[in-house]
Amino acid sequence: MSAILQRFISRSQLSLWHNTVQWMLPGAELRGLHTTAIANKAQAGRYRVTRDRSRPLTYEMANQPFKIAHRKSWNSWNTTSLLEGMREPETVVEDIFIRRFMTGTWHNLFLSEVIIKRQHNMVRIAGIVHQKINAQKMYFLTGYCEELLSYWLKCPVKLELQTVTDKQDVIYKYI
Amino acid sequence: MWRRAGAGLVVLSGRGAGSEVCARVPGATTWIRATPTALPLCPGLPSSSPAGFLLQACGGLAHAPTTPHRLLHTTPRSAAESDASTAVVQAGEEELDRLYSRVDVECRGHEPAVLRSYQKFVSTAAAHLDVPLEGIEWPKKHIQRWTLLKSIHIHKKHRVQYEARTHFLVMRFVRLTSSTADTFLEYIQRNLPEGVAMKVTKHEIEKLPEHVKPSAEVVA
Repeated sequence: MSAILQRFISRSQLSLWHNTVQWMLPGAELRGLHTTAIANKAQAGRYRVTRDRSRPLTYEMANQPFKIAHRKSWNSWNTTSLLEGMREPETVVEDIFIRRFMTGTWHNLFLSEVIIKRQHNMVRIAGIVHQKINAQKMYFLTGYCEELLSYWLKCPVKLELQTVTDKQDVIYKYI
Repeated sequence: MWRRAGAGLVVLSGRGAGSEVCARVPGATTWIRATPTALPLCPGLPSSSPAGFLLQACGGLAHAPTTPHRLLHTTPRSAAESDASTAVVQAGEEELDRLYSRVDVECRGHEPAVLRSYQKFVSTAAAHLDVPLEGIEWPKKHIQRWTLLKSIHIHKKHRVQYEARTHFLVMRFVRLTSSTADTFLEYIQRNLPEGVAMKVTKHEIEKLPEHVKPSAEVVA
């Protein structure tokens, strides 16, 4: 009888019934429904829509990961994941380090993702930076980053940054 | 022998040396700028001297254009400019060029469009420099797939699939000397796009050793 009841009662009602049963009849047998959590959803790289459409998204943020190679391209360019590509884990760790280093050194100045390109033994770092600080400071930061990163990674590092006066220039849409 | 854009090649230049390597970006027109001694020039080869001159013309090098006589002049190579591809030419002791019947250049990349654009660049360069390009092949792509669990704990029925595609491009050059091959390959490799790997296979023609001779019966 209780089994039939369980089938026809909705989930929220069922939990209420369960809870009532628990304190009313302490020895009651709890034969609950077993359902798995919904695991077929993807939530990587997706941003929640706001009520007043106030969240700004860059083009990169607006296109979700399944659009890579269609409307989007990669942020890291190297040969490690080709057939018989070498040194993949070390390159990945280096990329993580470079990204943290760049976003940390340029405080709130990076408006785009940090793009890392590897050619021969050179590492080229690209990105869009906001013109909040004056040019001399930018030159200093560029030299500082290039010097320290080249010592850390043991190869020539070149920064190829582009600057933008207005933050609105990189915003693609609001959600 | 692997030469790839990702792994280490000879460090072609240092920042302080006043020379730079600007890699080619598809669509842009940046050319290489190199110090004079880094360019290998071989004496007496008609195919390589236009290469040398063209590279200079395109590169806007600071030094004066060289005459054919200068090619035979001995230049002591400093330790800073180490280029594995140049043959040291000493006055009076000439190291002979090696002959290659075939030089296969295999390029691998994730994107066919990038490979196509690179193939166009290499074919045009070979046409201008009179480097005989015999054939271009596009072997079948290789796809590597993984099927992994989507969740960190249980939920065995829900998986996620990834794949990595590798596209191939094979270009075959024939009848080259070592200096032509080295010059041309160096030019090609300096302009290799990021994310593209290159493998070079050289088929060399050698003289038969002295002790290998046809037997007396065959000769007579």
